[in-house]
Formats: sequence, C-alpha cells, structure tokens
Amino acid sequence: MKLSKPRIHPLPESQWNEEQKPLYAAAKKGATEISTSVVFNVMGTLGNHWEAAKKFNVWAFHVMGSSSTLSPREREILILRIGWLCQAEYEWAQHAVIGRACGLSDAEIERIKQGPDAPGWSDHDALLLRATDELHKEACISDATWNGLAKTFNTQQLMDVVFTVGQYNLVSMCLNSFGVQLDEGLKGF
Amino acid sequence: MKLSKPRIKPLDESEWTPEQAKTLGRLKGGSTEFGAKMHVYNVLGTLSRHPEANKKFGVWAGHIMGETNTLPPREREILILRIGWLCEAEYEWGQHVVFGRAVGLSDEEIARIKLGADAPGWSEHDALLIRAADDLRKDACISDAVWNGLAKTYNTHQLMDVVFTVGQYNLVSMALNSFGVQLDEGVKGF
Repeated sequence: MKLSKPRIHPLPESQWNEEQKPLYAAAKKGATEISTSVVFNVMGTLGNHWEAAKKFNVWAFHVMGSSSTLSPREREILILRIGWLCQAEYEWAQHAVIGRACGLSDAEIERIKQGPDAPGWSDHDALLLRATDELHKEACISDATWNGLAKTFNTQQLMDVVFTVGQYNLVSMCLNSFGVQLDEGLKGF
Repeated sequence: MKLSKPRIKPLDESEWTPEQAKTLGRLKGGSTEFGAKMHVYNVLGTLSRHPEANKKFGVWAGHIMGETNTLPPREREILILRIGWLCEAEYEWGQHVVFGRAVGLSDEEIARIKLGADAPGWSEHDALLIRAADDLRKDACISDAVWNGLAKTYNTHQLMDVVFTVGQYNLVSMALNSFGVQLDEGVKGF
C-alpha cells in the first residue's frame, strides 16, 4: 500500500446523494454486479467528484461488463498484471477475488506477479502478460506480441486488451494517489 | 510516430452504419457543430471499429475534455501534452498542440513541455503539473511533495481531475500507439 492513510476520504454516508445511496449501500455489503467483495472505499472516494464518477462508471462498465469482447478470465489476467506493475495493492486485492470467481487458480494469481517468463503459462496467457508489460513500459504493444495475439484475437478483442490495461493503469493511478485503503476482509499483496 | 502504418485502419466510408454516417461524416469533412475545424477523423474512425466501446468511452472522454473537468483548460492541456510526450504518442501531441494554442498556451510553452519541469520559465504551479504527470507515468502515484504543492492551489475535485486527466491520456496514448493511428491531414507531429 503506497500510502498508509487516505489523501481523499470516502464520502461519509451523511453526504451520499439520492443517486449514490443505492450504489454505495450495495458496495458496502459486497453486493455489486462486479464482485462479492466490499468495494466501498474506491467507490466512496470517487464519489467525492460525482460528476466525474458518473461518467467514469459508464466507461468502467464497458471494461468490466458484457460489451468487452475478452473473456472474464483473460480480462482479470490483464488487470492483475497492470495492478502489480503499478503496485496498486487495492486493485490487486479486489481483482484477486474477482479473478478466482472467473476461473483463475491461486497458483496462477501468484504467478502473475512473476510475469510472462514464469513456467506454466499457455502461449496465449503469456502474450497477455507481455502486452501488459509493454503497454506499461512503452505505451505500445510490440509487433511480436500484437501478431501473436492476433492469431487468436479479432480486431475488437485486440482493442479491448489495450482498453483494459489502459483503464486499469488509470485506476491504479487513482487508487495510489488518493490513498484508497483496503476494504474490510480484503487481503493485499 | 511509433508505427508508420495503421494496425487497425480507420473505417472507410463504405463501412459506416447509418448512425456513424451522421457523426463520422461531419468529421471527415473537417468541421464540427462548433464551427471549428477539427481533424480527428483518424482516431474516431479507428475507435468506431468497436462501436459499443467507443460509445461508452466517449462519455468518460467527454468529462475530461468538457465542462465537468474542474481544471482550467490551459492546465488540462499542459498535463495532456506532457503525458503524450512521455508516451511518445505523436498523434496526441499533434492534436493537443492545436487545442493547447486555442486555450492560451504559447508556442514557446508548448516546446518547453518537452523539456520538463526543470526548464526555466515555468511558474511554480505549472512546474508541479508537469511533475505530477511525470510521477504518475513513472510510479503510478503522485509524490507527497507534488501533491502537497498542488493542494496549495487546488481543491479536492481539481486534485482528482489531475489524476483522471493524466490517466485518461495515458490510456489514449496506449491506444493511439498500439493501433497505429496516423496523423490527420494538416496536423503537425513532434
């Protein structure tokens, strides 16, 4: 956890507006569409800037929802790897839970920390990890990785790889910079 | 320009759906409803290959470039130009030089963004904006010194919009670079 205390605190319940009340109540109970874990600290923090948060949620729901053309398991591999590279412990904690629910094993989740060269990855999964590393380092996927992914992925899937990594790089920057703390019951790195 | 040819080509006119013909048709003509000449066909024509993503992306992108972003437009463009430079996203640079000039950045300031926060001539606040972009690119986190410095002038919404703006344009850089989006006609690169 880069910051041990919030720089921006989650909005207290007394300040939730009518639109926020049902969302944040669900987030506090671990009853959102996205996960069975409590996700209040991130949602409540973004809620300080509700105009931004509302629009952010629309885009976030493409990446995490049914219009993404990636399988949930592949999506979570990308998200966990970029979260690890950005050292965003909140992201890791939340997406380890989501990842398990999407079919990642504990061993695979741990192996994501080691990267694409760790033994045990399929060719395709290793390419997903390489794509993430390249986007983080160079803001661009290399020819080798792009062509490799293009053997299995169509145009929209290739686009969703970049959208997913870019989005969760943004999320990592927010979680780290705002000092969002782990929710109750979540395990960090 | 990282890639000299597109990996994903902008939609050809023959591929437009009726809905896309309305929005993309206007852009290809080089004008918008605001009457200003906008050359953004290559990026929007490329993103339009994934219409569902493009629609939802447009909502969030509309916050960053629109009225609900609490940063003064000149400061927003300093952040966008700096992250575009750090990511070597030439399309982003070219486009946002045009937007930057329109909101009060001088040619000299724009050139100085490439040199970074330590180049002489920046106000303290502008130097902090550039450092914030650099911190976010390098560590995915704004350092204490920069955060506290910005917090002397900025409120909570503005501090959040700094991170949203840099993060968003880091994402855009990744897309422009990886999809091989080429400069639109009449737009100068680096």
